[in-house]
Amino acid sequence: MRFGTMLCDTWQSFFRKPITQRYPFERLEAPDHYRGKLVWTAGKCNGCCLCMKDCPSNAIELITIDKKAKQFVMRYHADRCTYCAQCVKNCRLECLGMSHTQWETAALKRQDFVVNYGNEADVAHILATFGKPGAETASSIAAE
Amino acid sequence: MNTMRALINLLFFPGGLFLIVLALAYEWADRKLLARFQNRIGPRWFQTVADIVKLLVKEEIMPATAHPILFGVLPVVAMAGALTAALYVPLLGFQSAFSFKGDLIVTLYLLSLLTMSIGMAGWNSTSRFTMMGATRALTQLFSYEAPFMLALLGPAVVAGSWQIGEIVTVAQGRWVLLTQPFGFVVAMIGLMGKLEMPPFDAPKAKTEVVAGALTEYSGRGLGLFHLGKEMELVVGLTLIAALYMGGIANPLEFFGKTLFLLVILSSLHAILTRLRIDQTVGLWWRYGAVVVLLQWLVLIAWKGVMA
Repeated sequence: MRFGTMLCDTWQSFFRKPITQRYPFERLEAPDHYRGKLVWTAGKCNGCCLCMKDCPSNAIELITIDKKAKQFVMRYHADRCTYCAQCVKNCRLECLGMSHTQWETAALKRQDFVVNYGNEADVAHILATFGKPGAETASSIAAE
Repeated sequence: MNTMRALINLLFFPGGLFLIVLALAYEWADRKLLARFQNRIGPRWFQTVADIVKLLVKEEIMPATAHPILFGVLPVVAMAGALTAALYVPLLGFQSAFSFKGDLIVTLYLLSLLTMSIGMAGWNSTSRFTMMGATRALTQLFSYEAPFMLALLGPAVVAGSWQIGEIVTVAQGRWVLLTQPFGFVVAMIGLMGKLEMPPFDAPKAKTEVVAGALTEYSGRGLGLFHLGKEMELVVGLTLIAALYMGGIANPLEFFGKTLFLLVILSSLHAILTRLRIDQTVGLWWRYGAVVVLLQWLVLIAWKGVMA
């Protein structure tokens, strides 16, 4: 009888170990296609800025230092990002990707969401020029 | 001295503080059991206390169209009903604090005060969800109330008294459960109806009417309604255990009996799904009431034969 089966089932669950994952202590691995934090690798990036133009939430700033020498800094605002992965689809040089390992993106301050990708000297230069990360600096350095 | 004793009775031992603690403990046990039945871990022991404290300190938002006094008073009335009912039942196997002739009837009415208040609160909140929830709650009340009452009056007929103390003395050591099994089953299911547990949770069906009659309640009012409901669980379980499972016993044994009843309630809670309101009414009036009435006829005939 169905009633009996269900009762049996509940009582079996009662003596079974709970299947709840105790999250901070044990973590599941995210699937490969998971859209976590956006990652930029300089690679062949030629500064076409398509990612920046395509982003529906203005989460990407590609700052050009020297276009000929291929010196760029990519500033990513994780707090604005909707994780739609349009930039990844759009980049024909495959410089962008969404990580499936970095998916714990919580932070306490807004500044912590701003990530600067690029080689260290360039990032330091950009930070020195534009002050703190998170400052409203939408225009690129190329204007100078 | 007498006043002192009455005050202690009201504020600490059977009513008041003790009942609140007991109600929270039973709620925790219920939630934990349900969680384990569903393969979850369940809340820690202080979760129910934390919930109530959180609700009590939160701001209460009142709908502009609601009657302000009624809005504030209804939760208090609901909880007061449950608290008062606790004075007449042998909580944890101790003699009831107050008693007079016919206190069983009064207790049963005090227990339905909560549902009445919920219905009125839903009507007073003037939102379509609360209105719907209130209608359902009251419709249900009229379907399970009569069979539930008749089921609890079964042992009273055998004892020839409507005073809980006397019924319990007659039922002492005798498991009425074995002689009146249908009454016991109807009383248990009636208690589930009273507490709006599944399968009788149509009045607060989340997928249909948000939170039913209490949708507009937040903060203190909601906390008091919750507390009242948990107290009603304790009082109801105590009544059934005292009337059907061999009267009052030592506290530990009695606690074991009520806990056993709670386990039955939770496992039914875990496996049953919501009935439509017409199915609920049909179930009670087509089967529940008929079964209990037949049992009453047998009881009365038996009493006539024995006399």
